[in-house]
Amino acid sequence: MDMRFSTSYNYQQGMVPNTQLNGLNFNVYNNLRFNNRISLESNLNYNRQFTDNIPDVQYGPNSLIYNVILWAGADWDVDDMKNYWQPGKEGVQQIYAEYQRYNNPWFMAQEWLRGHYKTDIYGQTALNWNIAKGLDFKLRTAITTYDLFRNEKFPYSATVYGREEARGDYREDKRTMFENNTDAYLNFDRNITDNISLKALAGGNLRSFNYESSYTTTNYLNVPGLYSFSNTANPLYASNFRSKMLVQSGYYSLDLGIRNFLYLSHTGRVDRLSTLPKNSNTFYYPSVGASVLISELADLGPVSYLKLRGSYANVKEALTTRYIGATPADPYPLGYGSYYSSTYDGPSYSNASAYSSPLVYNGQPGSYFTNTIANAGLQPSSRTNYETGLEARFFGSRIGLDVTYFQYIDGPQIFALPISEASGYTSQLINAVKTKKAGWEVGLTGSPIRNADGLNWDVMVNWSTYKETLEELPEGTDVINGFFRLGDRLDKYYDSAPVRDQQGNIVHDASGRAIRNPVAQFLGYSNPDWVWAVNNKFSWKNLSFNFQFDGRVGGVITNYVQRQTFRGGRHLATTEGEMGEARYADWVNQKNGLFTDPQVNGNYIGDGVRLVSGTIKYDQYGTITNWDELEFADNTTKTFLQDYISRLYATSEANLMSKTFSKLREVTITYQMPKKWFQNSNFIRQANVSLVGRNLLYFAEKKDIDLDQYITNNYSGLQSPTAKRYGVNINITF
Amino acid sequence: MKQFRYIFMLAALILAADSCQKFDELEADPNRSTQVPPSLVLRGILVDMNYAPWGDISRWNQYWCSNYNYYDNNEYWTGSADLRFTTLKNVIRMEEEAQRINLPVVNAYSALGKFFRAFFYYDMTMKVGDIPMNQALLGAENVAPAYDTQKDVLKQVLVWLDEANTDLTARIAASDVSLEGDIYFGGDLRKWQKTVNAFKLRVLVQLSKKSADADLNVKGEFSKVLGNLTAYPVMESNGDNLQFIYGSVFNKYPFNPDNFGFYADRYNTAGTYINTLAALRDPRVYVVAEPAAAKLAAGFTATDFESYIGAPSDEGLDEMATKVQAGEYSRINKARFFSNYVGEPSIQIGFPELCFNIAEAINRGWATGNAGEWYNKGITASMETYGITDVAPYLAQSQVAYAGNNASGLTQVLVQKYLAQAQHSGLESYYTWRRTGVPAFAEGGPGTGNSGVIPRRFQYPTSERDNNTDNYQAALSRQFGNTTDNINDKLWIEKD
Repeated sequence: MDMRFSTSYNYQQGMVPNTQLNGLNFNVYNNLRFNNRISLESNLNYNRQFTDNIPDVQYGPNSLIYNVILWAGADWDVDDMKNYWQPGKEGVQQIYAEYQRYNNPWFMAQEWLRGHYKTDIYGQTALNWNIAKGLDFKLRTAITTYDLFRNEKFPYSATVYGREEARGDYREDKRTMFENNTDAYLNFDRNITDNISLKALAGGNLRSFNYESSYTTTNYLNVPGLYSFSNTANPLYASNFRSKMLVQSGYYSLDLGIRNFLYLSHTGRVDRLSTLPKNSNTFYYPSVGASVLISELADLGPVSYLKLRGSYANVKEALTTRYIGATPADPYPLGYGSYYSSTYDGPSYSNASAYSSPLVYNGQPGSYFTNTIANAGLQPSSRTNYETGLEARFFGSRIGLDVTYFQYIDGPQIFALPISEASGYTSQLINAVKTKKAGWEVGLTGSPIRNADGLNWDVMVNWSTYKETLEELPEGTDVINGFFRLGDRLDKYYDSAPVRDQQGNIVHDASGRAIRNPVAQFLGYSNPDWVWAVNNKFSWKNLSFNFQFDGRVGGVITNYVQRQTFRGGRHLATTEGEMGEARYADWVNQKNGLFTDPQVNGNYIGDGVRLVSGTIKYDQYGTITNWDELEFADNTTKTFLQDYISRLYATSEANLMSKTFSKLREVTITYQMPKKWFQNSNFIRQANVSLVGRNLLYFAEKKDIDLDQYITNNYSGLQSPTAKRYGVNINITF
Repeated sequence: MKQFRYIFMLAALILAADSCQKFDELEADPNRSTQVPPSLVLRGILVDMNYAPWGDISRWNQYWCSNYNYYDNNEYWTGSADLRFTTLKNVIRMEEEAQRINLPVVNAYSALGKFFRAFFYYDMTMKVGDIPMNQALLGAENVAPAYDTQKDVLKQVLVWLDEANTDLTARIAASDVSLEGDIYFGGDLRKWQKTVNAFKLRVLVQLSKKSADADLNVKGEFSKVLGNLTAYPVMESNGDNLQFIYGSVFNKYPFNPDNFGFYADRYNTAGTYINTLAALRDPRVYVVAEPAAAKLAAGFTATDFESYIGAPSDEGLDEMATKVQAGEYSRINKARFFSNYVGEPSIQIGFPELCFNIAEAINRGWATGNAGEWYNKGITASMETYGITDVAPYLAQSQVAYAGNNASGLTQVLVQKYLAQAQHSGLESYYTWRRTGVPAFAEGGPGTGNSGVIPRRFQYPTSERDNNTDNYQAALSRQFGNTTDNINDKLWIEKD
């Protein structure tokens, strides 16, 4: 019998005061051998993440970043706010600059608490029976579960969107997931002849999935500071969600190896899935692969290793979603809540012909029938991957090259086809639409300097690129989601923009402010053209030095931090150049009571032209159709700077920035302590010390957001600032 | 080996337990129902009917203005309107649910169903023009329905209203008390019947430019109702108003103590409304607005009508904001609109409007009766909703006293209807302006948007352009001679 167990605990203090994260892990493994043919293997892992308070940064008065970076004065000292209760109103009323929209950051950190407690348990028991040489039978049952509890203590006098009575609240969000996978399979693994090896496997799987969640909240509190449901001022609001799913599967795989140079593989799987309609819930999907080791066939000189490979794999599934929020039908009944999604992989129930019944009037429900036409003949969605690659090493592995070309065909998908709402419905679930994601990945490794006793230099370079395009549209449709046509990239980004004349100048109205195009305009692509990383490692005797640079090139994003700091008057650029002059002059005019007629007392003239005569006519795409009726002149109309900014910078185009960035992500200097130091120790076998720095340099067009957090987004949110981290690691092996 | 046997049995048990679950039942969503009582569907529809006050619509009706460009401006729309077909689908579902619980074929829900069809089709066609009707609401059977002309839609609206009246008459005679979930009238079918007929008169009056159309027979239909109020009962007081009542815990009035700090000063009154009230020396101005601070500083008092001045809705927002800060415009009366959560009921179809619609029809010679009497009744009823009971001195003023069945009398009626519909009845005031030009809306300045022009219609939803392209383009060409879906093009109902 083998047995091992491990346990670990870690504690991390957050950047924000009064925030932390605890992690506890326990693992046990044992293998019980009944005889030399039968054994029972078990493994159980318990993991708990827990904290009484995590920070919230999402946009809104609930966010520290919102209160501090966007809407507080740049000249305020946050430590002046440490004493946050009004005298005589302790526990009831915070002190702050105003009492309508914003919250004292210290009050938020100390009193507004968000607990997060999550227990993950997974484990399995497997019975292995070696029937004959090369033939095994395995019976395995595995569980994956989590139990999540989140709560929020929302203090009296704290205000947030939709909870303006500011009388506190208490919320609990509970979720449990249980999944069991039971497998039984036969495995054959033998060399059939000296030159041919065969691995074959066949078996069945039963997946059983259960999920339950509930969300309960008070509707204001009676007693300040008592976070209990019985303390609710108005009726409690509670919602729940549950789901169950079964998947019955049969599967097989075959791997054939011929003379160490040719490998062939094939798999197949049949699933019966409970989320699909009865007559289409059983489906098959296969994969095949082949690889050839050319270097085994011939001597290729400097090429010491060369392998070519190719594969095809198809996967089908239906009507499940990866992540879930609190009780999906009615997640945040009282208007406010930070959306937290946990892993799910369960039924979405999106093909149901059912009513939703939210509370609509005086706490009573109203029912609304689904706006999506369900499909009784719905087939599973399909995703197919084609991949070819080359792996080569040169000069005795001094140089290595790994090249992959991949293609994913996503489709036919389960697609909610938009239809005329005059049908009574807004969409119809069908099997349609194919998208293609195709790209290259190249990895190059090299060891320019190799010297066992001296300097060594290893380099690793990665480069990749992909594009995702629309390959097939539903029959009779030539555009989806308003803008996407056949062959278009899926990361085309359309959003608000000012109107421009035929020369590209911004068009202003009679009050000197930019006119906004009524239709979203194409602003660029949100995905990068390519992604790169370079890792260098130098070592000399006991010292090594390692650093990684990486980044992305191409793509655009709307910088929301810039948008809001402009509109709130917090952006540095509003104090510089023409804007700075206008801002100061506006302030002087206001001080002198000359803040009346913007066209006389204003001090900012927007760059561009002004519509002098004519009524702009747009087509459905926001393209101007009557240029000949319009007359423009240089814009000379003065306005107040903040009015100008508030309008122009409310458009996404004005806040668009390049997503190109690079980072010096990590630098490590390590000293390996000489072995002889420990020669006489029975206790310590080796030790090293390293200095580690992370996120040391960041290059980007604008640095008020960390693009690393918005890899696929075209619109940034608020984020906790990315910290430069420095540390010392001491590593001792016993 | 003994242990092994037990373990094997245990594993077999787990497998068996899983398979026992009823596989085929798992497709259905256990969190939502496929059948509900018709009353729940009704409640949803009734909530959908409500046009809340103090939104974009109230600014487009020129009752108030935003002076705070971070959130809002006073510009007119540039795009499409929401259509109401998904609500109409719920109307059909409600009727089906009523059949499912074995109510008679003609029942209270089906009678209201006819009214809802009339209400929502009117709502849609007034916004965009032609819309699908005969081929609409068929679900998967027709996902790209052809459009019907505005005339055909409005003709059918009148038919539905007649049918609703007939069916309600029958249900009232049968003492039907099956209607539940009625947030407006608590199931009182008589009040619904009055609403149906009042609404019919609204539709007919909005068709004034088509009063000569023989197919529609606007005049005949109007006098049919007015000439037989027993068969076609209409509202008789504010107690019959179809109105949305706000509450202090749920459904708070849009302006309330919670948002006092946001809205009270960021929005101010509009001149089209306030200046009209002030010019008529109308006491309602004291209730809805505060005197302009600059006027008080200049020596006027809070009871002087000169102290009440609203901003021109077409003024540039930067200019309006600075003038508001200088106290040049009247703000919203905070005491009335911000001191509690219930505010005032939001009237969707009301008695005052009915009075003015009848007065207009008589003025136009569609029916016989005393227009001046209806006009006075409408004013008195509107005053009552503001707590003003002594109306006689106001009515006696020369500029208020009904000028007779002539053009000035008509303008008086339309102006008073506009004043009575402040914050009420959705886009009705805009439609009346579109039809008659009364009262004169502020237009032309940079605050209007759309190059200074108030649009005449909404675009169709972009989903029609993309998913019902052929029918959409055919409808546009038929109506406007082009396919650009222009908000400045005139609808059939507006053409003389």
